[in-house]
Amino acid sequence: MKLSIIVPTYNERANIKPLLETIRAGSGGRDYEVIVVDDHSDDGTWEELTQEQANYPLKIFRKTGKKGKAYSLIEGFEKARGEVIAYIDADLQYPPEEIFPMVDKLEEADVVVANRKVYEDSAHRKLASRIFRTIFGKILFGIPHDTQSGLKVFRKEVLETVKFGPKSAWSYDLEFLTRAHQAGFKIEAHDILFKKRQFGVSKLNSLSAAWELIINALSLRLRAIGPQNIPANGPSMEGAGVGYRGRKYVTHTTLPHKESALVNLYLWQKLAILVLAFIILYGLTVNTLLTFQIVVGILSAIYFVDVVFNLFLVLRTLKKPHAIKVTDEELDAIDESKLPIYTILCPIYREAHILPNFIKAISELDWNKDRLDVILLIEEDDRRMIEAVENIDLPEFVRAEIVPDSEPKTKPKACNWGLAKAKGEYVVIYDAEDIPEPKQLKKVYLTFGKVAPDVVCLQAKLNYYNPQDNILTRLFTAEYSLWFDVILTGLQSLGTCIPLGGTSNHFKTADIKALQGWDPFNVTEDADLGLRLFKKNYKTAVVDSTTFEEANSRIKNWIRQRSRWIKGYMQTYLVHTRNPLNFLTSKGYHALIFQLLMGGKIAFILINPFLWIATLSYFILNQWVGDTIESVYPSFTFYIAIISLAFGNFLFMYYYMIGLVKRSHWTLLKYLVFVPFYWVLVSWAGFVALRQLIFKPHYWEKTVHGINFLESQGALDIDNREDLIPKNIAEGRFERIKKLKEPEKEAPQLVYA
Amino acid sequence: MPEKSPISTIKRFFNKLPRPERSRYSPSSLHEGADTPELGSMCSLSRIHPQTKNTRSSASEYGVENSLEKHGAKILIFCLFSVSIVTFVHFYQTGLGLTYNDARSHLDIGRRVVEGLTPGLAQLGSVWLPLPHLLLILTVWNDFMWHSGLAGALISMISYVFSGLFIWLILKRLAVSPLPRLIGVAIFAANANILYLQSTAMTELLLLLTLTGAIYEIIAWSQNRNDYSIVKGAFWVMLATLIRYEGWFLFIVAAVLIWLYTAREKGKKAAEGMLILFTTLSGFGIFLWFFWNKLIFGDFFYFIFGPYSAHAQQEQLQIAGDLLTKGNFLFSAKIYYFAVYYCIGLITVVAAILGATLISLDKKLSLKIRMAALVLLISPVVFNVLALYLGHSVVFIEGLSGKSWFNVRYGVMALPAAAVFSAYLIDKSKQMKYVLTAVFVAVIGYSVLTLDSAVTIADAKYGSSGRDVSQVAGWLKNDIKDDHQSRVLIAAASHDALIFSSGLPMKQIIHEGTGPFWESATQTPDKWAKYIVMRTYDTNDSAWNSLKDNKYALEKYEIAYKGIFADIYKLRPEYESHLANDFSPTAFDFSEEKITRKK
Repeated sequence: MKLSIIVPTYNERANIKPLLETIRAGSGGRDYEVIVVDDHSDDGTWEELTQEQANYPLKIFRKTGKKGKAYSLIEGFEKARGEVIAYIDADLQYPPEEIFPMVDKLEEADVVVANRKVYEDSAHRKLASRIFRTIFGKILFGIPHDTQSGLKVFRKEVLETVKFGPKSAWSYDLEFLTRAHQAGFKIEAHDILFKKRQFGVSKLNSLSAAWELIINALSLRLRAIGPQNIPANGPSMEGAGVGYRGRKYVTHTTLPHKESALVNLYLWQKLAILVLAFIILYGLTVNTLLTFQIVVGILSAIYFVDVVFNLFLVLRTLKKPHAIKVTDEELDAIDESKLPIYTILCPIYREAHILPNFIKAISELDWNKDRLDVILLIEEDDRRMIEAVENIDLPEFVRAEIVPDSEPKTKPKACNWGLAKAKGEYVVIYDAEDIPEPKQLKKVYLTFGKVAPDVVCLQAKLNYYNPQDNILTRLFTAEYSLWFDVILTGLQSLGTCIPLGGTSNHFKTADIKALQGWDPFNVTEDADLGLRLFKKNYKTAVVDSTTFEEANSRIKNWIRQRSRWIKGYMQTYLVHTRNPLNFLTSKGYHALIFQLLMGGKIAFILINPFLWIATLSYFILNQWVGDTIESVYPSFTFYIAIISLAFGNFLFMYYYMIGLVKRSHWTLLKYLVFVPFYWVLVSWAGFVALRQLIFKPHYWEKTVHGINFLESQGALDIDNREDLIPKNIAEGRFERIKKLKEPEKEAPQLVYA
Repeated sequence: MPEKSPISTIKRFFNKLPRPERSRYSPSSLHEGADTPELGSMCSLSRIHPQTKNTRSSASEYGVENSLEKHGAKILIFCLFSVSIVTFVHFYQTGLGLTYNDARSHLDIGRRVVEGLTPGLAQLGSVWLPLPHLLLILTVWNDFMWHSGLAGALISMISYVFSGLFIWLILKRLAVSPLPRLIGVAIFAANANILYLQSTAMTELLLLLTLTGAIYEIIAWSQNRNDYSIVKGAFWVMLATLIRYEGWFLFIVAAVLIWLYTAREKGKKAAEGMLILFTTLSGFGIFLWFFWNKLIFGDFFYFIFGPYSAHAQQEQLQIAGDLLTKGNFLFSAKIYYFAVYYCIGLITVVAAILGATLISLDKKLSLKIRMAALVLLISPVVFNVLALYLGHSVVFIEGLSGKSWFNVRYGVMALPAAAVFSAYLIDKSKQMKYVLTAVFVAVIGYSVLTLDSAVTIADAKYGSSGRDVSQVAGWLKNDIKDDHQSRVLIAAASHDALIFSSGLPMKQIIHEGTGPFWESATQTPDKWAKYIVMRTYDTNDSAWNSLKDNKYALEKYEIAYKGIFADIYKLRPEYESHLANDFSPTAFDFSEEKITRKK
């Protein structure tokens, strides 16, 4: 591992040779280079350096930019070729021989700061340094280290992550450490003896430098340091990530944080919510009735538009099925020997019990097995899964990849890891409980040949293999049938954005890599990807093949899964409304469809319960609340609302029926009379999702799969088994506050289903 | 190939979309499992089936058929619209468009939703099913549209055009070739009674549109098993159930048919699912109607047993000994036969019976299509006979029952069946084809030439369906003139035609649907109404019924006009100062059932 030592110089002729010599002596033969950036010295430093160039691994450069140490460092970093970087003042007050012990410490940390423990320099400089360190380092930024230390060693990854332009000649150190700290890099101290200067004179004007440092520190405190992208290890996205709020997230994607759900709300979004809340509160104070009438009027209009839009979509689908068909003849004509390699990613966590089923389902896929590359993505901490894989006789086309433990521990992160390991020309994600139709890969392969080049994703339809388990699975199946067999095909026919379903999204590997994989912070990364690719002028099509999944048959389990989906929709909505005007101007009415599809869906889930209560109260408690409710519905609003109430609800129930008929789930239709209860559950999950969005936005609610199998094995208390659903935890700033009160738990931070 | 609907045909017509490719049309494709080619895409039969060439007499005829096949629907729509407009203008000019008492009532109900002392959907009431009045709302707010009757006629006219188109499409589904198909449409469209009814605000044409739409879609579904067809069929049935109770019967018949077909083909589970799919939508209107009655009148069955229901009307007729059909099936059938006979004509009736027999025996069509066509088309006929037999409906045929014509127009419900079956007969008649064509051309021509002699006009003018209230309405109109402050207390259930003919805005009318205004005005009329219009001593008149014992109030009025159907009571001048002048909503306290004027 090569070390690059950056030395900024200005009139340090006498210190050059001892410095170089000491470094060499301390290196112990290790590979290093010294990069000196001379700030136009006039005491012969440059000549001295030129002379010594032949004797040491030394590269010397004349300063080209602004005068000052900070700018010299920036120029020096640009010349550095080592994987580890160090910088040191040339005045020999910091001991050059300590550089290599500090490099050794990088095994445990990302940045090592020389801590001036023993101070031989003047007392007033020592005092000033200690005061600055305490007030500005520790109190203001929470960094308990010698921030202004002139000797620091760190990984190049840190430098590439915290890139910034210094504001003044002496302002580099604090911002560097603050940014590194914010990016989640581990900073360690290394005690040193700070010597008195032997040769030359100090360039530091204590008073003006102190003033400059204070101003810069305060200014830095006022500036919010946003997420910082951590670069990948190599040409693939492996190792890439983002640092934010003192946490380092290794996500294996270079997706810019602006396109990610790492941050819930941008400042303007927060302000917009506050302003809206203020307007409503102000209105309620000034004219309560009118405010209610306006709010109810707007909501009724949105509901009405949604009713009309859904009717339009369903009629489009009914009129002409838009799933792309592949004939048996076409399938038979495929030359097996010319099939490309197809990668199947299967992120699997604490689901050892369903692994055999998955292997069986995958083995039944009609695809040349020599050209099948199935990757089981197993988390490093999932010991049972790793043991299960070791003990099972995996087919040759299945391999296990251990996803290194890192935050966030989510399915999309594992998929990004898998993408870096994929060998195939095509790639698809299947969940472990999935049973894709055997011909699915071939259908996709042929369909990719039929669709326009801008179609980069083919979504297979999803449905359930256990609809008859109970009323919940029946209604869940109805909902899935509507979504995948009616709504998605309708959306496809409009050429608009399609929020992808959880599994069975097929891509050409090059395309998904170009799209920078999945957002590891979004708990419905698939929906987000659908939007993202649409915004980049790509399209999704629905392929006429089905993957069968397991419908959730337990309410608690269902709530966990649904709350995650809704939270993911909320995240996706917020991410894609960061530049609403841009969306509108570039995509026109599709931006409005997005608002209705995502924003409307979420809003309705949260608002519906209040409207149901109002409606029921109107009939049951009319004597007490009838007049009040009537007063907030002026006649125009009333008629709009009544149409949505009577026809909207009816039509939705009817759409479920159409979905079920399309799937030939004949016997399920009668159970749709219970669908209002299902809607109540959806809203319940919606509120769980909202709470989680605020308090733990990236928390992945674990859904237990293979319930039938577990029950058949006599498993008890499935909803509370920690081996299936880790009681994990912390993330986000609220969690950190919580941690102050609760003992820290040893557990994986995030899990996924 | 996608299903063809009239709406899409219209779209193509107006958008001038490029002509679709020539298709693989063949008679065999009309059997189960195959779909009908798109309109305008059908190619020359001879090119596919050279043997059919032998049955053609000449190349020119062949060309006509070919053109009809391609452009028939578009030409049809154009022609029917033209006929519709010309006919409306004719009846508007002759003043016959508003002769039916019910036509004026329909217009008034629609108007009351948008204008009156208490406008709103509640004005739809429960006397009639609500769809025609809901559609009227779109235009009846305009005074000209209301008083000219065009608001209602427009619905009938549009319905007329698309009913004709649906008959064309049904015949196409039955593999009837273009020329007989055209004759079939003409039998319907040139019928004098249909032409008259399409010029009025009556509901027959709207019902015929929904019936033919539903029948077409269900026949299409029986051929193609396309989910969209069954949903569209259910939709049309739902609309029909919100127009007249014939729709409710069709709902049952179609549901049974769909269950049977699916059960035979896919088993009982699939039949259960398909039945739910169909009935949920098609029955939604019925559900809403029950719910509406509960919501507005507090009783799910108010429309059946309420004071203004058909049931109440029939009870009175029964007491008067006029309900002769009740319990007598043969007489019911005879009465309805004559209604059909007078509406359609003997030749068409005979041809239809023969055509129906032919369809039932024609093995070239699959049994399912034959059954669907026969059962569904005949269902309105069966309904009407049953309704007469059960005493839920009444039809008077002059000379057979009743004192004059009454509801003889119900006979037109058999017209779609007659048109389809007759066209089928012509198409399959081989040598007799041209004779039959000539006969029907003569029938059609005769019908058009005797337009003003249509039995429905006689029914409206002279029968119990009509009511000449022009004199009493004229007096009222003349006396009130520009006095926009005076109100008239009048029972709409008894005198809607009079309200309409008076030309007064609804805001000046206090009727049963005005809730607290009516309650207050029937207690102390002198404080609310300058005029009371009622049929003195007739307890069926709610105004009289409410005021008959209130001599103190009536003494303040004098009878200003005595008419055949109603008397006009006018407040004596010395009491006029007690009258409320400001009827704006803010002037009253509505907190009680009866309203009080705010001070």
